[in-house]
Amino acid sequence: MRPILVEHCVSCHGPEKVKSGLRLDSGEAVYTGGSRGPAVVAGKPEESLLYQAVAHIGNLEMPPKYALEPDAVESIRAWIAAGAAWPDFDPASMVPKDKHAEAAAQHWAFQPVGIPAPPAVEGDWCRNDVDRFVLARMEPEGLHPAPTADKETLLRRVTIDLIGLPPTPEERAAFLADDAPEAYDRVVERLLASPQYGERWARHWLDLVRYTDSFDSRASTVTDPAEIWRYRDWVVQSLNNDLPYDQFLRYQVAGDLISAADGGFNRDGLVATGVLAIGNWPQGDADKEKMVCDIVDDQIDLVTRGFLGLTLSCARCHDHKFEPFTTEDYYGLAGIFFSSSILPGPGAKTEGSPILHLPLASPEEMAARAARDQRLAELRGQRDTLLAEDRAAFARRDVSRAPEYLLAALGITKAQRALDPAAVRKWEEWLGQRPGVLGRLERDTNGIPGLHARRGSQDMPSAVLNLTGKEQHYATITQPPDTIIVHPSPDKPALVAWQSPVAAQVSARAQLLDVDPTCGNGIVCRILAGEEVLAEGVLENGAMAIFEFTEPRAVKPGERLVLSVDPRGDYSCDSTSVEWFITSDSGATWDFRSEVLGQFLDAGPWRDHAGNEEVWSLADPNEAPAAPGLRDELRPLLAAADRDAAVSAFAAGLRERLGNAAVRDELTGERGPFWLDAPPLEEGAPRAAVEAELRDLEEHPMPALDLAVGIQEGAVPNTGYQGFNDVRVHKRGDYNNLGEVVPRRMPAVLASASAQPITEGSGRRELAEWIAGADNPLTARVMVNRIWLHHFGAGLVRTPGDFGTRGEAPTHPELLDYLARAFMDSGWSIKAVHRLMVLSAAYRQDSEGNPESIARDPENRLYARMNRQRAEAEVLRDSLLAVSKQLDLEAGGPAFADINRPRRTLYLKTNRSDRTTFATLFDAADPTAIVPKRVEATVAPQALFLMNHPFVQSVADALAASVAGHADSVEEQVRELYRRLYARDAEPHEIEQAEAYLAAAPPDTALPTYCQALLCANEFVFVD
Amino acid sequence: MNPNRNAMSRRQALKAFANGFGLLGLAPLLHAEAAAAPAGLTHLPAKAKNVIFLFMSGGPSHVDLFDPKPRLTAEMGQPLPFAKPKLERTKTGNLLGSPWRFARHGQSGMDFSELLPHLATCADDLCMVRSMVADNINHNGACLQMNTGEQTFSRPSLGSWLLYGLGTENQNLPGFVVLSPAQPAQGAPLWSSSFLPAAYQGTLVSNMDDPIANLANGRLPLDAQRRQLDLLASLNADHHALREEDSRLSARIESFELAYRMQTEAPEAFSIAGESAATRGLYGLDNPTTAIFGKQCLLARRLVERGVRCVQVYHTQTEKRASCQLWDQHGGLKEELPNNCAATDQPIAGLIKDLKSRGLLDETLVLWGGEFGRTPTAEGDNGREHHPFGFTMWMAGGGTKGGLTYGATDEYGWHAVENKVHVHDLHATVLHLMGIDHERLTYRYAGRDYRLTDVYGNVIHDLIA
Repeated sequence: MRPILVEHCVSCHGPEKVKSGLRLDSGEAVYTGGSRGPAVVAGKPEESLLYQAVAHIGNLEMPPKYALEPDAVESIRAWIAAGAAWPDFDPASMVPKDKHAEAAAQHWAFQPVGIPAPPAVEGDWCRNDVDRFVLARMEPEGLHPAPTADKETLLRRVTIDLIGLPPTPEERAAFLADDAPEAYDRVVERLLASPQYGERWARHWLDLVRYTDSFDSRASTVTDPAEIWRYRDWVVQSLNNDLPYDQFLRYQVAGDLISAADGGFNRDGLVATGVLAIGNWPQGDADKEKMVCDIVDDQIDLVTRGFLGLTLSCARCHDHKFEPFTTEDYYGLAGIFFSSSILPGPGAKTEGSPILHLPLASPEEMAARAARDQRLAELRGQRDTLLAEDRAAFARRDVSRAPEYLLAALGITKAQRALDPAAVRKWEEWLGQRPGVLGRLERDTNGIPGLHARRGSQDMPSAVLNLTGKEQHYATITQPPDTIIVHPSPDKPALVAWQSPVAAQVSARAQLLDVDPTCGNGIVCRILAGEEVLAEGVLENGAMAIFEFTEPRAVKPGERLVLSVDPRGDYSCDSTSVEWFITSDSGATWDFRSEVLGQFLDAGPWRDHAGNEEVWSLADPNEAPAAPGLRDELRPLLAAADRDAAVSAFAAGLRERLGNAAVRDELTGERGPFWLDAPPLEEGAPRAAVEAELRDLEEHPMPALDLAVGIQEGAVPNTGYQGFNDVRVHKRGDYNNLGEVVPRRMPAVLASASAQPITEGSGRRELAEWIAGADNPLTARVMVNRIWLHHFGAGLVRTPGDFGTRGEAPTHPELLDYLARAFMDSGWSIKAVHRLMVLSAAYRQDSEGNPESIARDPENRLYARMNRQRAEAEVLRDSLLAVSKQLDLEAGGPAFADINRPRRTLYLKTNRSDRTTFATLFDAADPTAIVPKRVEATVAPQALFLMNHPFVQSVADALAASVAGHADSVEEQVRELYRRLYARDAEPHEIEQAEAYLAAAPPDTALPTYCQALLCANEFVFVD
Repeated sequence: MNPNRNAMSRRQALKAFANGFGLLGLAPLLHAEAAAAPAGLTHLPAKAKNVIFLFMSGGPSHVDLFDPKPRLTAEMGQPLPFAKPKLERTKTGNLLGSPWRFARHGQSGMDFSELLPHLATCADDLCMVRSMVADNINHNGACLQMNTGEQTFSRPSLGSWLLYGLGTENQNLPGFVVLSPAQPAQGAPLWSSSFLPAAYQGTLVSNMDDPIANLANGRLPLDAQRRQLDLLASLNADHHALREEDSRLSARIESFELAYRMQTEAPEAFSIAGESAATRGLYGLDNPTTAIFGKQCLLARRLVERGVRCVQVYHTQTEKRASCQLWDQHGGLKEELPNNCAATDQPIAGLIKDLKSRGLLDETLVLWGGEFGRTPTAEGDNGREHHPFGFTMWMAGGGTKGGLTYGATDEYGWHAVENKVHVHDLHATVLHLMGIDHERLTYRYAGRDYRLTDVYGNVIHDLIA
């Protein structure tokens, strides 16, 4: 046996190399196995990885390059079957797995939070109990606290720390003037009460929960978490309101299952669960089973690593190698999330998966809306039936006058009063005297309420109106609000026609924007009067262009100008936003977009703003399908030189033929000239009442439903999981390789008194209670460590995302427990924890420290000085806007993408498909990952941004203008700059330096470039 | 990071020396820019210094380009004679023979379809792998795996690992550049540094005429900007004098000087104005069909010539259209595949010849492929579906064996059957050629030591010269 292993296996699994952590050169190693588990199970060759690998059973085939001889495979099988004996090795001597688990279970972080008494220490340095713990660790090491920072440094530090903005000169002056002992405390209270506090600290939380505004810039509103900003705003509000942290967590795990305080619908609760829906799972994966497993994995990782500092998700494939977590622990939790859903279904294999967009409305409101929708559907059904009857009735009534209509439609005779004008128009269309219109209305296209399309006899050309009030993204199109876009077909243009209501000289200007830059190859645009081309040009892909004729042209009433949007080259996939203006010499103007916007839902053609009927239409250049009949007989006559006489003769003969069923059917059928969109409505007809009620309902729509991204109870529909279910262990993380069913439960080693059995529902409620329970040893410790980390620049546990056995032990274990206990005793008040920390003497030290502390404690683990911190991306940009007095403090709402918009950077859009953003450049959190602590890099492109980006230049300009307006003398301007940027007074030599620079530089750029240098300086970016 | 005091840095560096390979990853972490690792600190003797990864986004069809299958043609229209794998994206139809003729080229007699006449002249420089295997059947997951080793979650990309491990050789240019006119698959995750420091992520260049953001001031002439930076240096020096021990401050001071130098040096790297007419001809720059990808390839050469560690060249735009998946011929195979080949064949052959004539091919590993191949069976009557079960990629230079055809798919081009090379194996081999043991280049994150190849990957020594 061993010679076989030595010859074929040990070169990779032995002393030289240890592939997959496996060695096959000792009994203990063979029984212990590698990353895939033990290599042998004594007596059971079929269950032994070693045998499976050499016999090529399953996925693993070894050796990698060739197969063993059958004899060798058989000897391995026989050896395992016989008990897999190894000389001088007794399998019973191995420490069993649960012993390892037992040892790990003694790990400090898994023990209950203690109630440590603050140590007694000498001297009067301490301001609160935090300091007693800190000083007690310094003393035995011979370290002494650093001096207290001066007031200016302290004010800048605590202001940026708590609200992410620098103190204003006014705030500085007030603080310097306040000699009361509690002056600093008052500053802290002011900052904690500021709405900007929540915006600053929300960002720390959002880093942790892999927050993103968008998955992919190309995603549709259906597959993208378009409403996730509500979650971000909820985090801001929760922090500002000091929502107890346990409740903050409960809401995020199971807010959809928790009633609001008044017992009603819990809007915030549902919004809070949005955090479970924005994982970095594979949106476009065809392997939907794997995708569902990956979503669950992300959710487990979020609640365990994000909320509890545990790397439990490592146990997806195998028992955790270092922590007391088994695959059963993992799948016990997994069942909870397999019994919940963030998707309406798995989606098509070829597409990204839609995610749930849940209405923020109570069941009662939803029922009322459903009842209304049902009534609308009934009425529309009744209306359609009655309409069809009335249309048929009209056609039957007037068909006998077909000859008169024919002659009137062609203008051969004047229309008599008895002829219905709408029917005359319909005859004109039918005869080809008037192109067909895009008459088919499709409401709420792409499932987006308020997005309406018109189509003609075929799907394209089409026109889409965006009445949602918001930019809409669907397919590859981005449609701005209140626009009408047209889409040609591969071989036919989309036509926008203007029919002149007056005799005038007119000029026209069309402004076209390609709203689908990723598709197609631009378009060709023409303005036509009959065959005559008045303007013509090309719109490049993704571009905006203007087409116009400015030389006035005479038009008669009824004469048409047509804007023709044609596909260019082979590529038809192009949506184009259309604006079209026509101006007459008398000063009258027409504006296609604004005039049609409000009428788009009515059947065209549409009136202009002066009330002239039939001015605008969207024409369908596809001819109606040809059916041989009267029209085929008429067509040559219409083109004949003696048209009027020929048609009149035809009309005379037509009267005779009306008895013929085929002729009557052609005229009275749905495609015939008597089939009116709106047949005359008789007084008191049943349709009048139906239409009145319908109009009333349609004219008083319910306000649009607010939607939120979130989670719901029950498995993802149409997957292998149904409702509430326990799941099987997925061996090696493979859904095809299932083991035993694991009942839904909390991880065994951490299950405590608050871990309630799961009796109904998914179990998320119980999970939330366990996480938020006061006896959970991790929740409070992990959170106070995060808060400490942001205040002090390093955590008491320096691996804030890993409180397991592989993480670092706390530098101050008693302090950590003291803070965790104080946190819980305060009712989980985050603001109470801030106060404990920022009011401490430890926090108020200067960042220079004593030479001894730098020499003996270079990493500052004992806090004998303050850590200097670099401003994060958000603080940097917000400070730029603040000191130049441009900052707009508007809070909340959807994210914006334009860096020049002067709102806080919290609201600047993050998109997982784009890593070229400002925030990424300055080391903001990767929105695909749980980031407890940002990695800080210093790279030249950051300097390039600050030196050359137009945004920074505009800030420097605004700053220069602002200080120039503040004071006339250079000295006063410089003093103001130093106060705004650095919260201190300028030194005399700094004023001289400024004067020298400004005198030498060209006057027009002197002050702005000086301001920019100050903004680039280390003093602006670092916080002492 | 925690305040990087010098004292601490030294201590960490010493610790890194003690455990041998850590310095490899640590060195760049301590410098303002990713700095070159001191020579000789790689795990193995490096065969290659730089990588150019030519990525044909969408999934190029192996059976129409490199892997001739006479039986596909002979049994055209008949069903695949064995069961398809369970993982199917859409049901495909019957066998579809390649519409194109194949011939053998070079002394090695390597197979090429008639669509690639230029590349065929490089046969003896190519190391062709016809037994590639990947795990994911959709673009996003498959592109992610080909670039990061992982199909689902955020992980550092190949280029980020290389930069983390080896540093860059030119401080004035980004060490990892991605040339892609349009967004491939889901975009940035393909060149993300993920949990590695952001300095290791790829720098995306989508506009070849304006390659790096903020390189020019637009309002200040250089001498005026120099005076402004002198003022800044003086402000910073005063500030630093009182805080001498904080190395982050000096790093940031240096970053402005480096930025100033980059303003003049980086545009030169991206300018092809000085290239000869012969070079322009080699890459097809004067022919509209080849001009776009030709320029991408030429820029790749200019960048590796200047010490950029890794250049990824995504084919996402032709004369006619831009697309995230140009090579995704579900339909239009007979029209679009020739278009793609016409756009890329000459530029790629030009790149190989140009590198070779400049003596750069030995130290530059050129890698060609997409996220998967395409089904030997038909989708519709003129298309093929996604196919990760057996497909072709090739390498050139960088210590690979020229003229080698390695591995094989079955007689229909469906499964890789001989000498399978998984994406993880390819990654392990690329790292090996660059002097890195893929099992030893690790980064501790979330309690685990991560590597590019996760727990997989075997170096394919047969591919190495």
